[in-house]
Amino acid sequence: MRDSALGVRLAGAGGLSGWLRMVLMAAGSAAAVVVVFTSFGLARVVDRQDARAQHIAPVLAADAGSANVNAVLIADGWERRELRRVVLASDVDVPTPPGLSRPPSAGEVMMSPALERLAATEPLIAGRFPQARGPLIEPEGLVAPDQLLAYLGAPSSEIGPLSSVVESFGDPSASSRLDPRAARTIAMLIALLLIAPVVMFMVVCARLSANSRTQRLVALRLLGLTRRRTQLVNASEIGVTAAAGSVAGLIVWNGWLWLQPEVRLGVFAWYSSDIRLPVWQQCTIVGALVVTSVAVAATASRDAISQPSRTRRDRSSRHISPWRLAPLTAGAVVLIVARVRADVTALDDFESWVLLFGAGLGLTAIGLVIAAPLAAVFIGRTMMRSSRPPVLLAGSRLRHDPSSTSRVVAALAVALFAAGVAQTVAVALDRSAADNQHRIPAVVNLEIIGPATDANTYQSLSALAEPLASFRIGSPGNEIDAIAATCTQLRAATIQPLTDCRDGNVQLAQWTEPSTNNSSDPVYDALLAEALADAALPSPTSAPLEMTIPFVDGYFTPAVIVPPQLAPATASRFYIPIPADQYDTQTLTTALAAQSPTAIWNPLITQIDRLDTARVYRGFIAAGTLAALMIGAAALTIATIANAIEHRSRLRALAAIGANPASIRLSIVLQTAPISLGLLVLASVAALVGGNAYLQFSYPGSTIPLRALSALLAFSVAATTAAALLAATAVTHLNRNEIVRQE
Amino acid sequence: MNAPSLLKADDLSVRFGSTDALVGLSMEIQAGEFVAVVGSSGSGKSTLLQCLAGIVRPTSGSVLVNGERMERWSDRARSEWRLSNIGLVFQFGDLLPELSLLDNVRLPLLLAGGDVHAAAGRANDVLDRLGVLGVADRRPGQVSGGQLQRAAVARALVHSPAVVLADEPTGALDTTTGQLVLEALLEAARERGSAVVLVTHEARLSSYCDREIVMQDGSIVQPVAS
Repeated sequence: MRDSALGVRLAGAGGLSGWLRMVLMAAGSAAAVVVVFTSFGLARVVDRQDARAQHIAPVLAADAGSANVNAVLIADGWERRELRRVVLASDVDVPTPPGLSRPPSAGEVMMSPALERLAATEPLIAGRFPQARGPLIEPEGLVAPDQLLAYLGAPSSEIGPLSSVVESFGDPSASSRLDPRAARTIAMLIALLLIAPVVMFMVVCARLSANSRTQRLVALRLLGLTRRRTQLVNASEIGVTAAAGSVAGLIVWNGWLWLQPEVRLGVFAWYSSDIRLPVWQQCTIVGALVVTSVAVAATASRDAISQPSRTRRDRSSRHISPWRLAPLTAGAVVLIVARVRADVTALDDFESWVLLFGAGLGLTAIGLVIAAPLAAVFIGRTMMRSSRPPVLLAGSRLRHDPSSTSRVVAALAVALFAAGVAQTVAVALDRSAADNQHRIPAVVNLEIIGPATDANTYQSLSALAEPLASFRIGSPGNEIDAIAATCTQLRAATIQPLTDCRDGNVQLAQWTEPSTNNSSDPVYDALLAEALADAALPSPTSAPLEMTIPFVDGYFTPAVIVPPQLAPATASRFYIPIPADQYDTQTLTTALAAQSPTAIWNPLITQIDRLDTARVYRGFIAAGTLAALMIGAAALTIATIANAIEHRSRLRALAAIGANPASIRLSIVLQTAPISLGLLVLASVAALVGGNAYLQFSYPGSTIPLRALSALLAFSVAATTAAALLAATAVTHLNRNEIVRQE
Repeated sequence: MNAPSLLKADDLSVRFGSTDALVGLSMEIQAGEFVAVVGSSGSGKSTLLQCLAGIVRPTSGSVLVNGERMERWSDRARSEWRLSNIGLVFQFGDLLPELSLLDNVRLPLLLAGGDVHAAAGRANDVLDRLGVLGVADRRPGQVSGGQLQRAAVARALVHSPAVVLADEPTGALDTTTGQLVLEALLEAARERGSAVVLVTHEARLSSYCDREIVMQDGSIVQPVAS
């Protein structure tokens, strides 16, 4: 018989227990494959979507005359999702957008399928697109299946002054949608949240029923099998199970993607082809996972195979070195150094700080696992001082079999650590979103850039006051912003009382910050005088007004305030004051789009990006936290069941000498609960240290989310308690005579 | 005893930490002879057996196999020699719990590269000879202690080894069953011409053997020809 065949034979042999063990191991591998594929798939989604975003990005002419304009790019939003409209001139040559067979004709709109679905259910969206519906945009012209995109056709006479000249589509310089700094932090968290628990999960699965396997390997060695051949048997046994599970995971993952052309995960949606990994990557990952399992099993069985006689004589002789504390200590030290460096390092030293922080996280996660058996020995020794039999028994088990007892909770501890750190990163994201929110003042000025020259066109958008028309005066290249407004209009639109405002006069305006006073520079004064002369405007007669006009994404201060009756009829930019509490982007966009489809306004462009980024990352973190805890809990359950099966005979022996069932159950709970609690508290403390380092670097002054960490710890403790009780019940049940006899 | 020795221990010493398990022990095993090694617990009987099987390396001294010093062999060479030439029986069988008795018994043949069907035939023969063919398809956990030990004996004999090393093979059995197992072991070994080294602390079992070696504190105190 070939040794590998023997290994395969042993994988599922042993009746119900053997099958259960094999199924648990295979299920672990399958779950690991799905998680790792999804993690790598998400990275691929980001890449593919970035590539397609570049593919559909319009290439604008660098120096185009206003006579050649052929498009307006309008980005507004719908419930924090970007809604992009591209208005293309229908009477001049325009390139065909990707995903379409022709450009839209005048009065025609071509939508993405997601936008069409939304328009069918949302009247406000439908109202934005009163045009005739053309063909839908094909997937090749969309970043994602849920992208809201529309191409509209309009006569070039309706194309406004801030429109563009689109030469083609497919701009390779289009920037990534994700902030690379934040993306790197998130990638690190995903690695910590998913990869670390998955590896731990695989370790747990590869070491299921480790004592039984050790017994088998020792028997084979005593029979005369060489070390190499015994390792081959061992590797085949683990390898075939891991491979079977991995293939099952691979089939499930690919089958799911095959059945679903679009993948939706909460608010996210991707094309299946984007998240599906190439075959070579799938094979590499499966191979790596199988090799990891085999390597774990081989390393753990090394002593049994090289010293079968000693292992047979004393299975509890394995020495647990104090050096196991080294990685955890090193990780904690690195995180503390990262925390201290956060105080003294400027933000532009981000790269080296992230490296330091990542190294600290990795070392700590690995250290938690490696130190776990040492903690079990320590707790076991302490418990063995007790004279109470259940405590003594549990202590002896922890003392003499520290690996299998601590392995039960190690994956959950790593998951808890990762989830705790991730929650502090989420605090930083929440702070970022909150910072954006409070910038919106009581009155928001809707800034519209459009072809209409009459401010009254937009009067219907707000009942608060008349719109302010803005225009530019001066020679090309030295243009100066001017605004046509009465003092009443100005007072409604600005945040200052403007007591010195004089109607009928041309007045200078200045930024409220003295350091940015733009009227004290002699060169600027000369330009201003020249611009006023060019526009045939009189010189200012009173002192400059301190004023700023708040709009959604910042503040604007024109150089000159001109009485409306003196203003030239060339205004293309308008400010419409709207109370912030009535500032409904959906309604405003719909009203404006119906009034002037080619007008551009700034609903919340920058804020959408910021909030969306925070929202996307928050979503990643929430999903990652959930996945990590589920992986940890699954490992806990699997290891608990396997341990219960493996140690039945030992407990039967206890029952045989008269130990009552309650004592046996108590000893099972005690051999799980203290080590679990100890490791979970240790993981929480490590998460506090890591999270504090991150917050100190990114948002000094932020407080650790103690409530979230406490909830995570409470969940973990509850899970381990449930697992301990499950084990106690399972052992009692499995030790019933009829089951023992059947086996 | 003029025939060349099959196995020879020469001034064998084994030390585990601060404990001397064997102290300057010398003995020989001739082909086909039955030797009983008796002594109290901790006298070094099992360590001697494991040294003879090449499982434990002596601290000093040698085990000679057909004149070759075994401690000079690699672990691989010792393992391969054990697989082909030694049959081991332990007190609790040490069968693989996941395999049936038949699979356990034919395992040495298969591991040595034997044909699957031929191995099954020989295993069935030995199991039949030892009276456990009827439970051959059961796993070790599903048979009685006596049946388990007979299967262990069958596994030790199936490849007709030159030497069977039995470490308290009846220690976990009642007297009657133990006697039956021992008789079956000796008869089957005799049929195959295998030498048997029987480690036991029961002096009465030594009456089944050609000679008896009495051990105490890691040394032979009374080599007696029977």
